Amino acid sequence: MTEPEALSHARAFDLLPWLVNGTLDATERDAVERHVRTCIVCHRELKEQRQLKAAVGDQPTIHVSAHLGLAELDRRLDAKPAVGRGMREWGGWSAALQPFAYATAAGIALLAFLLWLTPLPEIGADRYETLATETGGPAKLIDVVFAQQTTAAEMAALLAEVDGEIVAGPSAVGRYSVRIASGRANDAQLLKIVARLAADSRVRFVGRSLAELPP
Amino acid sequence: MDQELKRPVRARFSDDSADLALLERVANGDREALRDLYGTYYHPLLRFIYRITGRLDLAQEGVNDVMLVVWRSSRSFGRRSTVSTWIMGIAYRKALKLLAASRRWTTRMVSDPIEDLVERSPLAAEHSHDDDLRDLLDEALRHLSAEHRAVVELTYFYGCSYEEIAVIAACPVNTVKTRMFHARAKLKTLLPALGKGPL
Repeated sequence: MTEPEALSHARAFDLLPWLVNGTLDATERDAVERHVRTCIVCHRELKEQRQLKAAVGDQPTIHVSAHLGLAELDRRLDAKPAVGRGMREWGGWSAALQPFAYATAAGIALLAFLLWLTPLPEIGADRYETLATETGGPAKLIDVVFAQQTTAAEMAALLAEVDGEIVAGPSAVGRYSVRIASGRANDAQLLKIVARLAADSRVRFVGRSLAELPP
Repeated sequence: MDQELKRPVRARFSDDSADLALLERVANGDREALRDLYGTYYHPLLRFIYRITGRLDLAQEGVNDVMLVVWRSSRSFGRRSTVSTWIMGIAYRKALKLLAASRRWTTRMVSDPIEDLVERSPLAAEHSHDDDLRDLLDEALRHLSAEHRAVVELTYFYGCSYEEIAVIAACPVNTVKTRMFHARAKLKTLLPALGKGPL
């Protein structure tokens, strides 16, 4: 029986990440493993790749409830047929109104740009609904801007400490709207939460939001 | 509380035969089947799109964009890959589009030279605490290109083979290997602690 052809160093080196995640087929896996046994560079690299895999797998994830996203998807699916009918009716008129349509589109684009330039507080007293906004139950909103070096994992850990949930953001200036769970939503508790976050170096700004969810 | 830190959802998050059965029902207009599929894929997609775009709001929007495509295109699924690979491919394209659109309006994404990042990072190489290294890795991944980040994430978190990644990213397998090669080289620069001890 002849010895299988040896892999070149470059090819074996390229395949190490998939040796680590266990997806190489048996032939490739055996060839890479054979090369690693005789190559100090690949041996060291394999060790590093295993550490990298462990570290990437260990990165925590921010979990947001799926049912709120699903409700939004339902809304989008239910809205589509109405839009389709409207577009068909519009089709007969479109040729005659085309010059006006261009002007309107330009106006809408300009308006959208101006709206985009406007920061978040324009929310006012209206209900502020996002994918992650729950219906029912009293809740409070705060605005938070995290320090630039704050990682997603740190943000999530900080918010977990205060029973907070990101419901919108970041805005153009990096501001998140955070909903505080109903059990901690009275004014005194909210002030404590704001003070707690304000004292943390990973938070650059925190304050009660101008828009709070109604009870 | 809906949002919390959890251990990551692992790569093999679905069973292909179960996904296929659901997708057939979706193709016949079964909204309940779409809901079941949504439940299975919501968090894996949320994480994947978040990892590419770096923004939770875009990730939430992206998940629903992906599931809308699944709803409309389920009849055209040709079984040339697993259902999860097909859906992740849609997510990959959506994530890149969302990222490109957001970059047209903001310069918020980091673009500092890698050398500067290592120098300025408060988490210097000699720090050995697990959390510090995880944070440093998080920051290092942000400094990879979206395409490189996706390959790292798909390999090490989702456990995809290079062939699967090629399907997801719609590129040749050699491109996948090249992207991984460059991603590894950059991460090595950004993570000098790598290889000096357990993460």
